[in-house]
Amino acid sequence: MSSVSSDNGKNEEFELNIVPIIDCFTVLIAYLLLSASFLSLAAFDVGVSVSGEGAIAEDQLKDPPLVLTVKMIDNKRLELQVVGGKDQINEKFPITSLAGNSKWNIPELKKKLDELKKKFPKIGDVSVTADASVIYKDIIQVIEGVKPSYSKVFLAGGNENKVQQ
Amino acid sequence: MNLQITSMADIFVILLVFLLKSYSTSIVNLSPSDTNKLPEASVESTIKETLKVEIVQNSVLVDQKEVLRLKDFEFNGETFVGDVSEKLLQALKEQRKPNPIPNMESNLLVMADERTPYATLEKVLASAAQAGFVDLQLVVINPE
Repeated sequence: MSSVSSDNGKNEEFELNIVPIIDCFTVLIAYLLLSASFLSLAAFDVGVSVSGEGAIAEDQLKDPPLVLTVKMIDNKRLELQVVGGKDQINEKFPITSLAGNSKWNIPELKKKLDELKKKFPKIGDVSVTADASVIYKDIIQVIEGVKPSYSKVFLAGGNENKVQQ
Repeated sequence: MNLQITSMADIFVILLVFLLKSYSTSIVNLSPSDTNKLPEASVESTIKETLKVEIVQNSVLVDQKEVLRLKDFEFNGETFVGDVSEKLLQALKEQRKPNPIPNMESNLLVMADERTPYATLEKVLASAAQAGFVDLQLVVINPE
């Protein structure tokens, strides 16, 4: 409480009225609570690879890039395929599912990716593709497993020349 | 009876400071739709503000406007050329118009529900790639 001296020398006491301040605070807090987002969002940076007919550069014909494809198959199976390079490599590495087809074998995937990174150091791009019924949550899980080994990941974005059934 | 509101004022000040601190003034509304359940993943990358495409149970939204109808995450009666939807392609190309030409923006925010099947996602991505959006940010909930 503060006091003010008046003209005749007597001190007058007054109280600060905080009711209007509480009114403002109530309105502000209500608005901010309604507009607040309490989710912590983050994002994976991926590219899109679209297959289709197109011209291939001459230098790529002579020395095709080495591409690793991670295929997500129904029944939670994975298949890693390394294709390309000067030696025309085409190797497949299947990974079985965990717990009787109920879980993706992400630890084995990470282990296999590290092995492939040592065996084929020239692998540049990793493409992730999946069967039609595989859900997005599982795709994110696999991308999360691939990212520590290969930062550049592409999602296969369909075929622009595919005939629509 | 005098009501003691000094304590309430203290609480309100603290609440207000906290909410003001977390208040965001970004141009892009990054809150997912009510029905959109984003997948969880641990990732350190931050989100860049860019055009947003949202895939929810019954529609595909571009910048919060419905462009395509879905039925339980699957396309129902929409026409495609290959895997590309003309409607979605046009909607994405429209988003380039307000920006100065040439608009080389290739970033796209994708907020898809975790239950979205790959068949649907594939078509949306093919349309986005055709419109020139080849650098995607797949939005997830960071549990940490």
